[in-house]
Amino acid sequence: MAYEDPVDAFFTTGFESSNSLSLDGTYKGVGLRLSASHGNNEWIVPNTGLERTTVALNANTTIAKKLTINFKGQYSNRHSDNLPATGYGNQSLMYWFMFAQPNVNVDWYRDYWAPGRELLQFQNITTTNPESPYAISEQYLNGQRRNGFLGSLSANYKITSDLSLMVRASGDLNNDVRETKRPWDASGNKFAQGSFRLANIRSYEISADFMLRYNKKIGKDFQVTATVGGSQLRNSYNRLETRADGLIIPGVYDLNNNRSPLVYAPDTARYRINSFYGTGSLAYKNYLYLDITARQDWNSTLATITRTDNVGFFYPSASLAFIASDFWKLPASISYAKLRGSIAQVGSGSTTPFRTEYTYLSAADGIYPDGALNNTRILPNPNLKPLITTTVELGLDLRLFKNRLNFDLAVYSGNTKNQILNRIVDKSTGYNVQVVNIGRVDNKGIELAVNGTPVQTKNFKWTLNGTFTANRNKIKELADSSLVLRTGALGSGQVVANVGGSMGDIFGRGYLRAPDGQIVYNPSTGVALENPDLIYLGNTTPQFRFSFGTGVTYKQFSLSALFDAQLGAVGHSLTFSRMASLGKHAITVPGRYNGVIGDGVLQNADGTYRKNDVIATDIAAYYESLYGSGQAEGSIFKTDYLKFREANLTYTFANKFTKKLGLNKLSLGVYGRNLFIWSEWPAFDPEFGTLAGSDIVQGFEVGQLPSTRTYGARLVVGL
Amino acid sequence: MKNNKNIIYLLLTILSLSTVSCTKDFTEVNTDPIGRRTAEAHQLLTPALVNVLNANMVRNWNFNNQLMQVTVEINDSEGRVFRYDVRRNQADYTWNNWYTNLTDLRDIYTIASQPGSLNKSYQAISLITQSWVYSLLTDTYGDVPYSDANSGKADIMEPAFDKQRAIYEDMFLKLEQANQLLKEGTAIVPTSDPVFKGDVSKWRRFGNSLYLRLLLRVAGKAEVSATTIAKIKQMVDTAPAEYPVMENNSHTAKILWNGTNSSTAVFSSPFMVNIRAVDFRNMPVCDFFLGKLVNWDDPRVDPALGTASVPRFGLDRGPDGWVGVSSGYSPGSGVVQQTHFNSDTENKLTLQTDVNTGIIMNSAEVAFIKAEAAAKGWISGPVQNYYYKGMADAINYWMPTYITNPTDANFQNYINTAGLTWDATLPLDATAFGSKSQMESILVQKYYAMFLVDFQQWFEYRRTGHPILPKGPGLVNGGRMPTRLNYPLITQSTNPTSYRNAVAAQGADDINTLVWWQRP
Repeated sequence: MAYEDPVDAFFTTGFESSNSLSLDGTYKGVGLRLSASHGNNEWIVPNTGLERTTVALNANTTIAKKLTINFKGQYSNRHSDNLPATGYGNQSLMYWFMFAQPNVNVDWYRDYWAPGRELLQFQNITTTNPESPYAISEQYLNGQRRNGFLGSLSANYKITSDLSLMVRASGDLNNDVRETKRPWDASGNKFAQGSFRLANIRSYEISADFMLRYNKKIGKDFQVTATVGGSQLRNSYNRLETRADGLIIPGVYDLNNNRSPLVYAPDTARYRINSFYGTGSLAYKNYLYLDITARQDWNSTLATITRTDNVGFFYPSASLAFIASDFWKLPASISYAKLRGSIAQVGSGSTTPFRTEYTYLSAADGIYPDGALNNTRILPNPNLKPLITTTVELGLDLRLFKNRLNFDLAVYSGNTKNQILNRIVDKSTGYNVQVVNIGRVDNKGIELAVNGTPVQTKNFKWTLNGTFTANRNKIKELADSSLVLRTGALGSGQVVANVGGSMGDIFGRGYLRAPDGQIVYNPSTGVALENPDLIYLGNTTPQFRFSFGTGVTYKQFSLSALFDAQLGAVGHSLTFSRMASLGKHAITVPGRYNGVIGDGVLQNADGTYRKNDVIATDIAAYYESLYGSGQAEGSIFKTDYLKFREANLTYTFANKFTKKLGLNKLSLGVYGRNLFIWSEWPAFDPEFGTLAGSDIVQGFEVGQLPSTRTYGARLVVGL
Repeated sequence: MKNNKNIIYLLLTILSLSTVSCTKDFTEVNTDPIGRRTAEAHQLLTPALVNVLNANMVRNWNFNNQLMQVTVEINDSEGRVFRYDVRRNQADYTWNNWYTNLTDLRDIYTIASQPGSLNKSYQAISLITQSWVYSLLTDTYGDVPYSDANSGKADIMEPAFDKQRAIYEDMFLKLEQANQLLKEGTAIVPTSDPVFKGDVSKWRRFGNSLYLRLLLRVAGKAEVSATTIAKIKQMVDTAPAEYPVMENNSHTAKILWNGTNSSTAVFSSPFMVNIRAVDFRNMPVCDFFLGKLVNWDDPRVDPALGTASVPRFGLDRGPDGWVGVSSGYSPGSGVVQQTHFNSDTENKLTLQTDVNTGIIMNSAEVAFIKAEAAAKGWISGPVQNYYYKGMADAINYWMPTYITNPTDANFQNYINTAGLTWDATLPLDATAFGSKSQMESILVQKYYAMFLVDFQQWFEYRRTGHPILPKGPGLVNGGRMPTRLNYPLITQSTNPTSYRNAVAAQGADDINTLVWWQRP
């Protein structure tokens, strides 16, 4: 008897609502804007979701003739009784799906307690492995309550008509309380008697800055603008987690219900960045613009306990823009043409502190007598240098036919020196990780944006737009012969930087292959053989990205759609690997009853190869050899995709009608987001990187949750 | 205009003040308030030893015991250790754990050698525990980083591999030195010593016992046999007062677990923390291990001598009674689980939460080292005194009130009924399957004495070929017992040059390359 796929059956349709209201007005010369919003998200996993509330007030006033004051304040609250955990392990929901039987009624998992052992022991109905998904979503609770306050006050003083001074102070304070509840018998033996953990996180960032601005027209042709400014930033993070691992009364989540002494796990971070900067712009006759900037930063994360001489870094930039369409008289079809060129440096310290000094850490969160310690497993770097990126860029901005067809093209080339990364070192050094400046990586790329309006009449408008970007990087210098930057969960997958290679190159174990590239199988069992060495498996950074959008407006209706795509990268899917090696994936259906002959060759006794003719009858071993944990190659897939990102249909009521109702604006629309994904990727979504934008964190998918398709309706009322 | 001037002056003042303070307090801001700048020697001992034992017990359970036919999984898939089908990623766990914890064990010596915190006992404890863990490394992998190892702090990020012979010679120097350092009996912090509660004399016994273990391991190697045999003789016969060793289980090096089924409290058993109850319970006992014990009516598996009819080893009978599963069976042979270990969830006596499973080295092993040395004529006998002492200590460890020494009636009764009395007429050694010899007699008993002790059963089998194991039809690897673990795959990326040099020197990086002391 077949049941619905458990992945489909377990997940429900989520519901998200969001309401916001804003009021504008003036009271006794003070401009005010008050806004409030509330959002509620019931997520696709039963018993998960979150609620958000925000209230904000803006006020600005001119106190004296030359002095204006601006105030912003915001309070936000984020509340959730349960946020789902991801990853590979018993506490993760997606871990269960890797082991789930595809033909089991998911309702059978609803009674997850062993009979008569409620709150004490889970029962396993199909596998000795993870708990029921309902047990995880109803009993493994991760709650959060966060209150945030944001405020800023700025004053602008016009000293003369050419010179003004701005002074500003702002602060962002957050107080976050997280509760982690685990029942008895949770996660195998990890929490045999359950656990309650309460984490209190207080963080703030305050900054103060000033800017003096001078603006003057000199003669008939020149316009000069110069600014000088400075800023200070302080960031602080404090977390204290109190753990009652082991509960006396099952199901009672209270720190007083602790079986063992409470464990306190503190964590802290803080940094300061001080800066001075200056900019100068010179405009000549509205067609030639020169901009020069210079900035000096001092970043505390580069300081050691004995010195601060390496914490400062300086980075300048210069750019020149020439508006050809204003200089020459160009054909009428060219509405605007601008050429630009720039050379720029950007420096950066880091926002991760405490990486310059060797320390001892409390062992096992202080459970041992006499304040037992471990040496740090992360080797610090007392000579940490700031990252400096240098880029030369040329650009062209071309608008044709009265802005009906526009191109924006940029080509760039540059390098990044001394990126600060954690390098994975061999454990025989006695450490896990070393903080390094990795050397020099060269970058080049192209970015093109095109948009056009093929049809435009009084009532009808059709627009098209598209972007294309490509980027290549090459590692030129490294701190050591090769640096391992990241490792995967299984199959010895690893991201390694080698001189001559690219950032994001992924290596791992693969199949043993004949000289012509075919997989070699075991002549007696028919399973695929493994190559004992490390092989190159691809790169995790996409080579090309595209986007394509179109919009149609007809009278009061407007319709738009957006697609995007990426090409040229690979990733390792743990979800696929586990499901395939456990026989839970449809790819493992062939050969279940009569065995299968793998596509490839066998090695003859004389060293030559012949087409594989051995039937693998141990089908579990066969698929384990192709996709299992022994190697990474079988679970490497292209992350190429084409996504139907967004579609909107909006009806805006005519002015006459809204006026009658006494409203400013009234519109009603429906929208959809993430509507379709076309991709070879075997898990849910090829965009799984935990921190997008940096190639280091990509490459290994580890128990991702399904991404969601969203449909909705939106009503906007303007008073 | 005057106003403007004032404002500009004010700004300039602010600017110059700020410039001074641009890096003010940065040293303090970037000082981790949680991490400590310094450590005392005693603070580093407990976590490192617990972590090493943790790795040892986990891999004893799922690697050593599979190879050495203590247990055998019911599993037909690839990569089953009991079929000598060892996946290459098997290598990583012990390599990673042993090396990272060695950093703390080595640091104890550094700290205890500094003028302000000089302590000869901690120097010695560091040398002993380091030698213990480095010996596990070299006996498992062969040539390994040693003199350059654990020196990341000195910026050695790609340590060279040392030859196993050189590692052994240096460990002997360290253990010799430790014996001298501990002579003075400098006090240590009892509450930070989970092994001997501050009894320095017992650390000295442990150091010398480890010395004997390592000497014996290479005593058959021609280049060093003369000196090692002479050393064993000196330690046991000539100058035993200068080299005190473990004499009974009160000297046994172990960490006692808390005995609870908590997996998070201090000193929770690694079997509880790392092995799920269901996996612990579903590990069938192998008939090689169980069969002999049942035949001998051994007290350790006698339900009547256990707790609530559960024998001391925490076993539960299978459908066919107190029988085990044969190792090395072929996939698809439909083997079913028989006698197996109880787990925490059954509310019966179980090794999963037992306080006594954290064994570093026990006194029974020392007695059997002497028995072998005596049988080979390296020290004076009589052999049977050492042999009986080893057997009695091995049982005494688990059942301290049932047998305390070889003269006990219970012990005499046991060896007579079981037919385990010493037979000096046997040949010294014989290797054919089923053959009897003095070596087989000693090493079978040593095998039981080293139950749960890291990889010692496997190391000793590789050294001696004893106990002679039956070979099942399902074995792969040509039926050859693995002789080492390969190096972790990631070492090829993290330490490429040294790795290539090591492979060039030692031979192919696979499980059949012989380590130095195993080479003829």
